[in-house]
This record gives sequence, C-alpha cells and structure tokens, in this order.
Amino acid sequence: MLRAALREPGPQPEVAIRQIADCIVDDGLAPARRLQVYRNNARAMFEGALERTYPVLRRQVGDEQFAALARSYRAEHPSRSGDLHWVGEKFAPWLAAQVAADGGAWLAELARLEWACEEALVAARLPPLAPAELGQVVPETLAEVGLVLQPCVRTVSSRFPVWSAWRAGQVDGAGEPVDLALGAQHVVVTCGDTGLVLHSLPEEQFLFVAALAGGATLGSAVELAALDVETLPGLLAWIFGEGLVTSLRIPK
Amino acid sequence: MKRAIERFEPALVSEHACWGHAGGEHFNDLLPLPYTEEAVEHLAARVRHVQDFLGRQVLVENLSSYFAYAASSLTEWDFLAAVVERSGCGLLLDVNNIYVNSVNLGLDAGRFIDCVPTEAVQEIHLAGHRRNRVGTRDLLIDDHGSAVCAEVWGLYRRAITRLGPVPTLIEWDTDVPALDVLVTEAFKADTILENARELAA
Repeated sequence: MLRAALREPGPQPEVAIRQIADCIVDDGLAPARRLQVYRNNARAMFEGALERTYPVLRRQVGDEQFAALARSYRAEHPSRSGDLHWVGEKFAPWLAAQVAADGGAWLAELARLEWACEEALVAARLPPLAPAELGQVVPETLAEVGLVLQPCVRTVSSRFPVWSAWRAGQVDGAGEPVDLALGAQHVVVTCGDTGLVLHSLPEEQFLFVAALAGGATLGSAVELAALDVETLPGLLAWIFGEGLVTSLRIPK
Repeated sequence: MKRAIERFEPALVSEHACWGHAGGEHFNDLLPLPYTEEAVEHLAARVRHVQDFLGRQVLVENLSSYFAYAASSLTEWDFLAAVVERSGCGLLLDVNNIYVNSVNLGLDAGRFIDCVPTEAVQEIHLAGHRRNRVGTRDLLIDDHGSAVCAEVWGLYRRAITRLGPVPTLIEWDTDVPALDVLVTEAFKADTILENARELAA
C-alpha cells in the first residue's frame, strides 16, 4: 500500500493514499501532503539519476521531453536497487521500443552508448600492462594468447553515428544536429584518469577489440574480425598505448 | 561495504534508522519507521546482523521525517535508546534532523537532546534545511543546501554541553557555496567544541 502511495499520481496511488492516510498522524497538515514530500523525493532521485546517466540524449530531446520519457520509463521500471547507478540499466532497450515506429531509433542507440559510458565510469581501472610483456611470449604460441582488457572497456557497434552524436553533445545547451548520413559507427569506451574516452574505430579493428573483450585469443580475434594481419602490429601498439591491457592469458 | 571498510578503515560507520524499499521497489530515500516495540525489535535485529557481518559496531542516525505514524507508541529518542540497548550500536545524532522534526511533527527538540543516551553518541551532524509554507504551516525539508540556522546552533550547544566535544560534521552538499562560507560554518562548530574541551579540562 505504501509502495503504491509513493508512486506517481494516478488512480491507483490516489486510492492508496486515502488508505494510508489512516496510518499517518493528521495534525492539520494533510497526510497526503506529507506523503507528497516522499513522492517528490523519489521521483527527483530517479529522474536526477537518469539525467546524469543520459546527458547527451537529454540535450538532444530537450528537458521537457526527457522528463516525460523518464516518468513513463519509471512507471514500467521503478528503481530496483539502493544504488541509483542501476536506475538507467533498462532505459536504452525500453526507449528502443518506444521510438521504433517514429524514426527515433538512433536516439535509443545513443542511449545504449551512454549506458556503456555509465558502466565504464563505475568499473575498476587496473594498472596497465607494458607492451614489452607481449614480447616475452614465445612467437609460436602468440596466436593462442589472450589479452585481458581493462574492466572499464565497453564496445558499442551501431548502424547510426552515435560517436558523432556523443561528441556533439558534450557542450552545454541544446544538442547539436546530428548528420545521420554519417552512417554506422563502432565505438570503444574506456575510462582513464581524466574521465571517459570514446574511440570510433574502423569496423574490423572494432571487431578485433570486441573479440578480445569477449575472451578470444589473438588468433581467434584476427579471424573473427577478418583483420588484415599487416595492421595487427599497429593496432596492438594502439591497444597497449591506451592502457587497455591489464594482463595476458597464456595457454598452459 | 565490508570490503570498502577493510580498505579505507573508517573510524566510524553509520546508517540511518529508516526503511527504503518494499516489494522489490526502492525509493532511494530515507523513510521513517513507526516507533513501536515491534519496530525496535526489527531494527535491532537488523543492526545486530550488520554488526556481526562487519565485525564492528555501527552508528544509527536519526532522520528528518515528514510524517509520523499514528501507531507509534514511543518517542523517537526512546525508540533510538531501545535500539542502542538491544543491538549495542552507537548513535549519530543529527541535530538539524531533530529540529526539522520538531517543526514538522511537533516533537520536543530540547527533550530529545536531553534524553538521548550520552554514552552512545559518537558523532554529530549539522546542516541547513529548506522552509516550505503549506497552508498555515511550515514544512521543513532536509536539503543540506544552506547555512545552519540559529535554532540548530542553539540545540548543538545544548548537545555539546551535555555530551562533551563529540566529532561534528556539517553537511552542505547541494547549492554548495564558496569555500570561505563553509570554513566559517566549520569555525562556528569548532569554537563550540573548543569551549567544551576547555570546560572538560
């Protein structure tokens, strides 16, 4: 009963509030008005957390539209954790279902990227492995070695230019128009000492990093990504240079 | 939390005397408990469970409330004292919350300070609040967004006189002002604590 009373106004909560009023001391200030403080707090906590998780999407759709989305989303996906970080976990797939019919699918993809950013922000960052460590591996076994990437690495491949949209949304104010004709973008998200870092990679390089992140060995990752092996040394140098590798998984 | 405590080794660990979720739904807020014998048993058992798991004492903090339950049969201070007695926890006394409740619920703030078990209080919180006018009544909202008011400073002096120089934190985490404003607030608390130390010496 109290749970319903703390939800947003609507037929059911209003009935619940009338019922719970009997449990609250009425000293001249209506119990419903007193409960309203908690309803406001619960809504503000939830919507504030969602705003902090999806700032770029919010700039794109505007404050009013975002608040309306947040209210609808909360009605279906109320907070399930004492940790507000998790409030936005299901927002991107929920949004995809809402906007699928009216050409807003790219907004749901932008939300998917922003959730990856949220995950990267709260994940651990371990000391990076020096590239010289890879040089210690017997060359014949190199293809069987796995690179263990930072826990904060996330990979997002989209048919929309989500990296460009994210970059354009880093300034305050209304979201910059996004040229959807830019097409697909493949993004590796990580979090360094100075905050989030998003890299837009060519598809085959992205697939290689994504395969490594999924636990593939170097040999398997090259195959899965259909990577030109001549680009491998440069790509590995970049991966190590960005501090993305934390250890090697050497076959026994 | 256990891992965080082992890593950072805080001198004190505290949580509010509240509830925050029901039926799997969280409100991410501090909701008041009814002050009944049943709630004392429930909360004390939960506190004992936490202390056993963490292997240390925790402090329980009184909270700001915007409603009171008709079912409550204990005062808030008797409720907290009973939880202390049955769980072995300490108390974190939030003096602003006491004042907020005195306006919102009509409790006797001075009596709260005078009746709280002295040996249990190991930390004090001070803060500002927002005053909302609802009809002919004021409803105070604990928002940590302004200076500590004169009434709360008065209650703090009363608390320190009774309890001695207890470690004090001023909470100001919304609409945070310039550093010198915060330092001035902290200095006021320091002065009161220093006077108490001199009296105790």
